[in-house]
Amino acid sequence: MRHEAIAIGSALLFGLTPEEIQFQQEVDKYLNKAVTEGVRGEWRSGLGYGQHCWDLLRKLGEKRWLACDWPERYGGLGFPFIKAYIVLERLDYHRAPRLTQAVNMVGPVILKFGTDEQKQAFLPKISSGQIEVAVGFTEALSGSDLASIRMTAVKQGDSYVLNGCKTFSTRCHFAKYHWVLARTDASLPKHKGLSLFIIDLGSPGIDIRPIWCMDGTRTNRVVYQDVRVPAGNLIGEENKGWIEVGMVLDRERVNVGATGLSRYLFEELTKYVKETCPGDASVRQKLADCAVELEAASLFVEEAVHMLNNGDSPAYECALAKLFTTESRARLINIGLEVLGLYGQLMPGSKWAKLGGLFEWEHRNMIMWTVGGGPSEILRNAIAIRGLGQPRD
Amino acid sequence: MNLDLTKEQEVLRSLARDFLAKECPMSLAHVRDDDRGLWDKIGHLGWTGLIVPKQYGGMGATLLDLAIVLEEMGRRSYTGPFFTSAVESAMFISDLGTERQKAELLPDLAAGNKIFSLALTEPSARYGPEGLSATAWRRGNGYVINGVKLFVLYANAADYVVCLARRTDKEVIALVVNKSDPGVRIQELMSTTGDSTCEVVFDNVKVQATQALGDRGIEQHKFDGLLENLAVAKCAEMLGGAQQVLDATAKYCKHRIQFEHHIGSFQAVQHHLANMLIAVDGCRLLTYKAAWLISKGLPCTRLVSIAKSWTNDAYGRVTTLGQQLQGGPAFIGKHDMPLFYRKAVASQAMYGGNDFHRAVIAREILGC
Repeated sequence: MRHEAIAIGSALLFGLTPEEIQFQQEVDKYLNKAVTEGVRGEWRSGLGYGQHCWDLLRKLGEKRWLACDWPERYGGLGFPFIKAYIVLERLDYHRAPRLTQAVNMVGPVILKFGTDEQKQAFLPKISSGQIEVAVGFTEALSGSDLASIRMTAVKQGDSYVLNGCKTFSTRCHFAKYHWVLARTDASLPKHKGLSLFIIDLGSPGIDIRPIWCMDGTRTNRVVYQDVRVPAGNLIGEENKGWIEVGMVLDRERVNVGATGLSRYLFEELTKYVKETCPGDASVRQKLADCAVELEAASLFVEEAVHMLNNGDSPAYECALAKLFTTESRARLINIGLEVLGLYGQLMPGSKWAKLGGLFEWEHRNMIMWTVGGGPSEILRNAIAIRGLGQPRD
Repeated sequence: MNLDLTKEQEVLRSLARDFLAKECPMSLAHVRDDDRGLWDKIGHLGWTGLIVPKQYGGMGATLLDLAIVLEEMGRRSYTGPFFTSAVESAMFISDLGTERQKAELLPDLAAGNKIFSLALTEPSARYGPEGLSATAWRRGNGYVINGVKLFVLYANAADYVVCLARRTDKEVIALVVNKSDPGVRIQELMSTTGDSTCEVVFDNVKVQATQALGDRGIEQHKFDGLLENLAVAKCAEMLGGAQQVLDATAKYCKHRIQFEHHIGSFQAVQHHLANMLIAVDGCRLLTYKAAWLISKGLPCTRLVSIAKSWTNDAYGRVTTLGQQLQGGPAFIGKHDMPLFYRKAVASQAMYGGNDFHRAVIAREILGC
């Protein structure tokens, strides 16, 4: 009965491999120089990419780091997903654009479902940082319940005619294309009548109107009135849009869950505490709380990235990573404001602002992270259903 | 990252799970195993010597292997002297004893022939040498021990007590004392956990010099290292308990019908469940990362404290939510839920509660 065979040592491994660490250091070294104050200021302004951001993205494109996990023929390096995540995480840490939406959300779908023609037409431009593609999913009456969208796309000859209105299409004012989910068959159940289109934002009938958010960033309301789109701009199959979007959802969640910014905020807060109140026992406990959650967030993301990297299909891990990173970052920001006390209210640029008003701005911006890209409540439902087998109704 | 276990560890886990499912039903946790029935069976498996080096009759397992067994024990809410004898005492004796002491004590410990109990904490209820005021003064050829040790697990079931005491103002030593020696008085306290936890009074207890483990005071780094190992071991046991509570609660919510629906379909319930899953997954990742760092000999102080802090919070939340979601039936004394809910109270404080570990983390981060 006695069980003798116990191996000393283990297959267990946390963190990156030596080769991945080397790549991370290489990226970091490059970004230290390439992410200038100009890039940061422009990105932080929330107005979109200006000259500085475009320069950075195109330089990353030249190095083939923008979409390093894509095949070489489309401008990538054929790297595993974990390296793409490393680039994104480091950009996040340096407070630069986290690649582009075109790279994160659009490219992977075209790679998987696009025709050769579409791949040739879009992927090289995306991977070289020439263009941005703005995501156009949300509508005024369809947020969490995304499948209920009403924008219609009616086939007429060899084109589709689109009518409706998208909102929170954040990058439309500087993007070349719009990545749109529209209803192609109203007779089917709501998830099943949707299709994906890539649409030139210069097409006649598209009207882009700004919406200004509480953190000063610009997003857009985009009205489509009889917009004619060539049938060749339908991605994948008609009425399969929901599945196609879903295929890259996990990847997107992990990207949003990146812990780079949290790490930066934690480091700034630690420096501030060291300088101002290193002996305050209550502050020390709060800082320790942040450290616990940051470590946990990093491990949740690490596990999710690892699963995607291995080609596994995560059941709930990516949703969990996004949920926990964004919520724990919100707690970190609130703790930062508590520690800053009265100084916490001072905005970037204000006289007497501490840490450049960083935490004040993040406090306004953080709402977007727990609301956008799958709000926390919807993610919790998904985790209970997919992670713990709970019934849907 | 690679979270896979080795083949041997997979075997160990399934063996532990099957064995405990058969031999350690939850009902056993409700009535403590005082007749040593389960203990003997654990001894036959060799687990009483799981982490004892092979040359002393043990299995020479690592902290990772131990974590696997403790996790499974936590799942069954195992109640007995395993932790204090096969984990606490085994670590102290293996780390601090001389060759001769190890050769004399460890084979019996490893075989489960003798039960050892670690008498570390005192009325100060603090870990670390600063919390100790029991004394072991040199007298003639030996020592005289005086003091009160508290929260000593299963001292009443033990043959030997490993007692931590001050040899001088600055030096702490560990002494192995025969429980039946004159002057040793043991009284079981009334703990909510279902485990035996005792007060052990040392009243002028005379012992031989050879009963002191090693020949000098315990070095601070060694002491810290032992406490770190034990904190991670405790995390593994708590992880098992938390996982079991989550599994049972998820199953309950899937089947319980109210308002013509399974309650697991209600969003209010799903959100509690999702929070429980986050808590438990965090325990697993952090505990195994800490165990991995220790087994690799890498710096681990910050991560051990992070793991214990998280696990403390998580176990409290998971057991409370488990009670909440399983409602009235789980409030009944004989239900399994209270076993975990009550055990959490002591587990959270063992080897450092949150204030303790958050202080360590802050020191690590701020460097002061």
